[in-house]
Amino acid sequence: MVEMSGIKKNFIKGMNKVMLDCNTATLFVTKREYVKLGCVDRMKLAMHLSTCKYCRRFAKQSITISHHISKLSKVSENGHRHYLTEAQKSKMIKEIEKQKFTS
Amino acid sequence: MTEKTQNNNVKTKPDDWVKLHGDYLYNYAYSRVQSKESAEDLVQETFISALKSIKSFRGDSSEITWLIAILKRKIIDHYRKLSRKKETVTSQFSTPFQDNSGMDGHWILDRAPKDWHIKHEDPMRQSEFIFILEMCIAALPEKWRSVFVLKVMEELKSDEVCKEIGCSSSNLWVIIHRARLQLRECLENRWLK
Repeated sequence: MVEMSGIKKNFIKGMNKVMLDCNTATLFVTKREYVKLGCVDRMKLAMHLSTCKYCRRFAKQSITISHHISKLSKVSENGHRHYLTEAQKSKMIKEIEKQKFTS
Repeated sequence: MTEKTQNNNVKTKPDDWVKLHGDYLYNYAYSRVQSKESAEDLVQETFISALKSIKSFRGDSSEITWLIAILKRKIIDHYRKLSRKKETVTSQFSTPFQDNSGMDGHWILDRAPKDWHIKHEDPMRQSEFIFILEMCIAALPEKWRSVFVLKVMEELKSDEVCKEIGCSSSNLWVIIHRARLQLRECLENRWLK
């Protein structure tokens, strides 16, 4: 029994070298959005994703999140989400006026 | 008199900047600092810096592009200053992965991604999603938020981010990874409700 568990441990160790855990797989999913993964890492990730439905969901959701982040980052000329109040604006104008005369 | 000292390439008077570009700059800043006060300060500082460097504006770009370039620098400075401060709230990262079990590194089942059933076409749901996304970014720990905004939203190179914030390259990926894990979970918890 002891020997068996030893073999089992070694097997798991060996498998871990080839198979990614979800923590590493999701790190690779994140990384590949910004940099090109190496060939081995790409293969490991593909293998993991083919067997893990949660990481597949994570990958799919990552695309959705990135899509919305880029929407949030882009400010469109006509569709503002926030507005300066008139009070804030006149405060800014006053400050500009002040600076014009001091500089 | 002021007209004469003003650069000819600048088409509008500084007095009109607020009216013409104020909201645009404010939205740009707000999406990156997630705070009304900070966004307002950054826009104000942008106008003051622009005024000081008005002579160097060559008119190669449009006025708004020039102002955005100044604002971008202000945003980096904002986060650099934040990163110099010791974080007041020490937030512990609560990993959604198993630890100390036979399944180390695999999802804790009730924190694993759920099916979102997202329909891209629905504009109402989309703006709701962006609204929650903004809240979730705001809820990130300061250091993560700094790295996340500069790398992901401002699209700075990794070494530039590290130079400003003070982190190593491998550390940067760990931070972005954790930030995205937390963002995902925050979105799921608030949006699927």
